[in-house]
Amino acid sequence: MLGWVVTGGFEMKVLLVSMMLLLFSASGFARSSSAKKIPLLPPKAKTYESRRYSARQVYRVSRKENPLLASQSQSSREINVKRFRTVRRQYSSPNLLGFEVGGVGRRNTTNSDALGVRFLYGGRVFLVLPLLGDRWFIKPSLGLFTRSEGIGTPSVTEYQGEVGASIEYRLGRAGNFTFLLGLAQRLELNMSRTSVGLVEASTANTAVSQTSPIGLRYRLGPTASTNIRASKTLGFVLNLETSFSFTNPVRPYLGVTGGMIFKL
Amino acid sequence: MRILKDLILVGGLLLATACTDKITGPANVNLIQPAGPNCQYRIAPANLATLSDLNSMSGALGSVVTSRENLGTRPEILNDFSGLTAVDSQFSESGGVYSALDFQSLYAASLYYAIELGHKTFSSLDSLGDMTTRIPEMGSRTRIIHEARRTFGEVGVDDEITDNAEYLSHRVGEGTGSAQVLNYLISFPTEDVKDIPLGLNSGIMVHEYSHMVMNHLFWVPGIDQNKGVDSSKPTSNTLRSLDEGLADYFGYLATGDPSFFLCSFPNSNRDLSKAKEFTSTAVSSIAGDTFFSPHEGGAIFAAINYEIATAIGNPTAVGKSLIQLMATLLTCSDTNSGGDLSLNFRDVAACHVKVMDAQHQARAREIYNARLGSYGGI
Repeated sequence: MLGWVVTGGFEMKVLLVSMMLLLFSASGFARSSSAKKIPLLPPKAKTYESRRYSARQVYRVSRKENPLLASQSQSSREINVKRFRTVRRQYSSPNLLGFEVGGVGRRNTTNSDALGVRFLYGGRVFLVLPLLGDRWFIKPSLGLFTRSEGIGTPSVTEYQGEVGASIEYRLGRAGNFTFLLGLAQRLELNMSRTSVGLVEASTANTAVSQTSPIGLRYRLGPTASTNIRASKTLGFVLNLETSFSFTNPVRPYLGVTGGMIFKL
Repeated sequence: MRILKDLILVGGLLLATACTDKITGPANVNLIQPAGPNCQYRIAPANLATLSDLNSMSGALGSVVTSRENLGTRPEILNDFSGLTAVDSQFSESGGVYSALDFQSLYAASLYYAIELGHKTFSSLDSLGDMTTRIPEMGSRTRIIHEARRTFGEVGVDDEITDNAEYLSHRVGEGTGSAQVLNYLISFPTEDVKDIPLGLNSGIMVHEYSHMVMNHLFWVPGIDQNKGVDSSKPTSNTLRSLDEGLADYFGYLATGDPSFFLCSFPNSNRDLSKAKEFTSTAVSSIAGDTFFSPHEGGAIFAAINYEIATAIGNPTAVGKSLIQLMATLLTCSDTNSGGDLSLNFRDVAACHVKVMDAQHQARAREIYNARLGSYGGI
């Protein structure tokens, strides 16, 4: 694998940097977890999980109202709470449910739609879960993208299922717009169905088809998204994702999706 | 949630070391294949034995490439392959069998499969037909162009070619002491074909491969020996028709379907199983007196040979004799009057019968005599 990394091109370098960022993020989570278990320092008290900490702590409203759907003044205001029980009463889920539709494509030099990428079309459902403070989020998702192509009677329909989790950092906001940057990782399940329809000159009056086995691919790369708050419970999301498959050769991906998010 | 996150991270990193896209050949690939007469098809694994890289679809017989530029505008592309791009194919695998994940990958694999089918068909019949021994470094000198763009005539005025396929022999390095023939097997974009596109019709691509064999067994030696193979109308038209007829026969032999051509063009007159003969109209056309289409004369020659194959119950014996015919046509006494080659289909038939197995000659002569029409008997 080392040789693969050394001899890799631009895509390999981006992939490597993405991996390092992902590991860096992961180590950050690990550090925050261990700090709670060994409280050598006064707790910073920013999470729901800090039940054992002093009752006099500062909680952010943003932990109850997901900042992606909170108004600007609401998310920056801090309140004091005396007892955790009080916090629990005030608690409402900070989690968001969303869906997005659009295109995800691989670079394909034989057959491309735009920017050398051949897109599959479909959508994802996802959750937005706060991770650390009010700036880090994890977005687990399930998606399905498909494309059917053929000439004459033969055709191939391609299916790309994906399970993913992107980690995103809230850069800032402007009015109702919130901007996030992050790393998207997806496990792809690829399969296709090849078929040949009826041929006019044929005496065989049946079409034939065959489904391919499922192929697996993992890809990772940067993602940028914009959330547009419409109300306390509803927003819109636009997402641009570039990622790179862990394959030889490394294959770049581009995803452009848009959708809605709802407060759970 | 943390457990889920950790699982995703660890799983991802493990996959990073496990996944690979690079597939080296030989490979078994699920492809659309002919499954008998009358355009019956199946989707089944085909072994691409000469393939070395499934992703770029290249191997000992050549490479499947695309050309985004019009070959008519930039003919220099044909000199050094400079404007040609390797295909970018993707597959999933199970049990050692690969399946194309998209249509273009299926198409590219089908093109290579058809060329390999042609290679197998010819080399199994006679070592003379084994192009890997006749063409040095065949893999590096042969390109199979997928969705080629080319204009016959004036670029920008005439339409680009669609719904067609072609074998193109391209000589480079003339006068430099390192002259060589580059081979192009071309599949043009599909526009009007409603059934099997030509590049997926392996009979048609074997037809083009057959032109390559004819080129190396007959045309190139003929030109090198100054036999005037393209100088006089009746002879050149006969040779062009013969080339098409041989190609149709080998398309049938490779697919087992005498009507393989109809799978793409259902209304054409290229069904080998429909008996045909050289009518006075056909003979006059080949003589150059009226409009001439090499495919029409070729369809007659192919149908006659299908009739012979059926009569003797041995299509491969006929195929073998046709390879011998390609290789001996320049020296066959009936066609060689000392200087330029001069022949018609009667002469061709006489040469063909001579190179057939002795036990088949009488039956073959009988059928030729019945179908040569105004050419007269042999």
